[in-house]
Amino acid sequence: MISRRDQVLGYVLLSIAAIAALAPFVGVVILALGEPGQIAPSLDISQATHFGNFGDVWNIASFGASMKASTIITLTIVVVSVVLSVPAGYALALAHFPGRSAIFFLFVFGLLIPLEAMIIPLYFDMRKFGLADNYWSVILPDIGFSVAFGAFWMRAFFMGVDRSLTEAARLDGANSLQTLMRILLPLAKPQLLTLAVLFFVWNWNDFLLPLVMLAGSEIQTAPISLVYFQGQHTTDFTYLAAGALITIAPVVIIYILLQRSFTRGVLSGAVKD
Amino acid sequence: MNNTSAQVRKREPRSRLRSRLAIVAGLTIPALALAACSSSGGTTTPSTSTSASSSAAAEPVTLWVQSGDGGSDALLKGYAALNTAFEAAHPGVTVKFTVKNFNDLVNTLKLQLSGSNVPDVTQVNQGYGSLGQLVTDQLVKPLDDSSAKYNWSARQSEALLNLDGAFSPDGKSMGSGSLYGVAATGAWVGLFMNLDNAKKLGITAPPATLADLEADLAKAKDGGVTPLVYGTSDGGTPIWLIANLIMSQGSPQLLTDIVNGTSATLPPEVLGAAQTLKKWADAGYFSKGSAAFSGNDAVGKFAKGDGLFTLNGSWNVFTADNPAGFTLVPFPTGTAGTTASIATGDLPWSIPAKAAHPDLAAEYINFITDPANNATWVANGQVPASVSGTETQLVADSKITGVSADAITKWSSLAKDGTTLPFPDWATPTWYDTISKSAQSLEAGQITPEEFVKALQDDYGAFTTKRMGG
Amino acid sequence: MSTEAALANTPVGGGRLRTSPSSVAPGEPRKIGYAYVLPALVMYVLFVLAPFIHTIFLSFFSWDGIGPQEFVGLDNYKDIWKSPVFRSSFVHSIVLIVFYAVIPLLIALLLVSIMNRSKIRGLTFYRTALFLPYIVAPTAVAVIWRWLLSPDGPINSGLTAIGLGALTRPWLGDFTFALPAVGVVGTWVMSGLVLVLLLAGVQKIPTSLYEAARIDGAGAWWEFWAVTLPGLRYEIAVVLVLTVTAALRNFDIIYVMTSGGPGTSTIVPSYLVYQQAFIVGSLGGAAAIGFVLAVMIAVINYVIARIGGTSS
Repeated sequence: MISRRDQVLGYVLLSIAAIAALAPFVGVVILALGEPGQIAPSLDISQATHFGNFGDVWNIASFGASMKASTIITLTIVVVSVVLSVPAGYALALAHFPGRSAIFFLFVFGLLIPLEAMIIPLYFDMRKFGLADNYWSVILPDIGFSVAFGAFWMRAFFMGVDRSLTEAARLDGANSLQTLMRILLPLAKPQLLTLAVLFFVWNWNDFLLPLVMLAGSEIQTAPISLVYFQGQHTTDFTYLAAGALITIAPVVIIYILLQRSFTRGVLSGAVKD
Repeated sequence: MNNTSAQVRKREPRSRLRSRLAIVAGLTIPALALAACSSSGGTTTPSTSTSASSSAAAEPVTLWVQSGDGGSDALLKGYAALNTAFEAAHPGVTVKFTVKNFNDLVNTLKLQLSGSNVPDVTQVNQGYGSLGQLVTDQLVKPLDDSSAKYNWSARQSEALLNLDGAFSPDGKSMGSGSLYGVAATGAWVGLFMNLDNAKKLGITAPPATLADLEADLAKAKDGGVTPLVYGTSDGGTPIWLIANLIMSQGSPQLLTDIVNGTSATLPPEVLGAAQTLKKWADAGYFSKGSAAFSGNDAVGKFAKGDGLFTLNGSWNVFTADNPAGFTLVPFPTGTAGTTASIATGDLPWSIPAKAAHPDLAAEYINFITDPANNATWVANGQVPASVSGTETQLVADSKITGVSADAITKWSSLAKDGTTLPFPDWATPTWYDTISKSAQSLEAGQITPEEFVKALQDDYGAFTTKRMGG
Repeated sequence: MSTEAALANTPVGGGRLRTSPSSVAPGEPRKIGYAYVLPALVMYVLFVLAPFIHTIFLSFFSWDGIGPQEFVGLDNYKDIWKSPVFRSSFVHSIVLIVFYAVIPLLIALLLVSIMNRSKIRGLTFYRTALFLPYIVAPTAVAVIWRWLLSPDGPINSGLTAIGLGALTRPWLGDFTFALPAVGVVGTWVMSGLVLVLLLAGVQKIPTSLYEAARIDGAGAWWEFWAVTLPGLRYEIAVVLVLTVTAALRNFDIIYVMTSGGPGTSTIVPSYLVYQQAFIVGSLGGAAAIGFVLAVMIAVINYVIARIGGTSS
């Protein structure tokens, strides 16, 4: 049904697309290893031996502190959000209580609101309560965002679970919590992992929220450090490339190791069965 | 947050879910991952005590110092040296020195200082836009008592102290009143000139008048040398150029009057300056693609031998292979024999109203402005703001030549023999952005000189009227 | 990646809208459901919903963040309407939609239609590569592209090397080309994502539809038009929601690459929110821009969902 010619053409086109996606990254790796301080650095792979650039940038831009801050902030958000999303999704899917669909649509509504439409009061209100300029100022709002999605996502999973399983548990005398913990959660493991990966990627990359919430603090996240570093070394492209690679490294590593979870996350929603 | 991780670090992740998450987390930094993972079992209640800083007199003190000189590496090296010396002279004191770049500092300062987590000492920008607003909102402390205690007026001229840090207590008039900030180093804006390229073009002396400068620019253009190496993406350079062109159209005092806001209407010289800028842009006197790189990039290119001139600040120590092949001179005025230059302190140091250690902060300002430390500044190619008269000797001792030597030695003569002028963007909170964006548009032919003046006037008139009226 | 992409990311389990009989165990009060939902709901209401409502409230006031708030009615919205800079920011967003959404979609559709339904070996590798631009921090993407587009950068040297030196320009400093240059970054980020989603979608179209089309004597073009395109309707709606929302927001890339410049040629609403609020100190005006942006995103997503026939 598919001609040989089409098949080859398909591979060629797909490969071109993949190269277009990867080429800038390859360029940046070569650049990051080049001789620092050049005005127009050339991409000479034989010169790409300056591994010390990463250490230099790590020190100049204080990436040590900001990677630590990003890790603490992101992992706290991931863990708390997953833990809160599971029961919320469970109840929205399987429990029957007045206002259930109203609450569900409230969460869906939250997925539509851009951060730009709430960042101002968020900053000033949190500051009033002494919650700005510290880790919480980023963690708490991001948990708010994340659970809206998490509840939505887990609800969809729990609705898809074969009803006979929960019925059987009920007949065995399990209460709702036991049903969740013993029957449903083991089934949900892949979904939980996917959710955690999505939360990690989103929150690690987040820029506007920490930019505003941490403006008055010495705490910086990795993307913030990168941007401040660029503000100070606008065209030291070699160092900037090294900084960009440091910033994206955790996400890229997680992505490559857990990429099945990740693609499942994006695909399962986007592609109709 | 530290409390949280400390509290929970000892606990092991228990459930399967957690161990799976630990796999996720373990990919980054295992130790932190453990801590943060198990914090899921812990509390999510916000802890308000995280920013509390308690320091009894006996305990070791951390002095938080915030600089806005990010990117000026030589300047920061000077501060690093002085911080070490300060710590040595004050046992038990640790200086926590954080750095932002100029734009980030200016943009976030008001929010930061009105919050609860403020540095003990911070650099601010002079002018109505920055320090003036901080004074109005009572976010910085008056330094008059410290000034008297340490006798700062013996170190820096009254003119310089007032220019950098004096405001009426309501923040509405600049240049007199209480002292709110003191600069440690001096800053002046001038023309960097490549002497080798000049010689090739048959130019023997720095331009004495604007007409000379225009002739030199034309010669460079004809000779295939970039006349003015110029980068506008960060805003600074076009503002200084416009200011210098205003200054060279008429009396240098004009610029001071504009910045002080003696009238809500800009003088006609602004249009003349805009027309000159446009004329230069059309004549191809600026680097190609100037809007794509910054003033610092321009200096970098210039130091590598590109071009006849560039316009930048004395703080910008560039490293050239042949330092003696470059010189730094004041921008020419309209008439030969008169000297005038944008020349002020670098970002002055202020003490936030909510500073935790105000006395130690004053001690710090006193320390970094002490002429006894001038050798540190000179060794890093910086202009000490507290002139001690030994600068020429220090320059000779440090074997500094070329631009850096000019920057330091010409600083004191500027104040003595010429007119020192403020930076134009001090006039309103938004003028920096307005002038730099409008100048980019003017150079690219997007707007006419008349529209350029209108954009500046709209911003300036609105703020000045409000300031004088309210 | 952004959270609002989430709307599109529903895992479509069985029986989405089926109302279930109570599965709560006997003896458990049904109200236990509230206890399960409450923690998440509290976080969401406190840190998302309340600030959003407060934004709408603030947009009717004039406030500098420190002094008193002054009620000004609809003045902030009138300012948005009157100011050429504010208006142009929304126009720039529309231009960016072309680069973020339309062009990636056209590229992906072209590839999908040519590759049709061929089984691809090594799909995992291709997916990993194509997704990569989408998952890394936009700030890093912006830093990387600032270099690629810089006056002496690889794109200009590449053009010179193949004899197109006349086309080189300081891309991000050029009033005409800065916005398209930023747009190209969006095309780069989004194309792989769109392609992977459509490739997966096309595999789900029943083979019988293609066979039927072939029996009817349909050519390649007609096959695409009558079978592939309708079959991908849902997936296209999903990618449009993702890409259009990204185009409308786009704060990180603008902040890092151009700060809205040169002049105001790349100003977008999300950057204006930040600039007006935290640099200029006009919080009411910034709140109004933020709210208008939220309404735009909601309306466009609603229209896409309607046309795509996905009402979730």
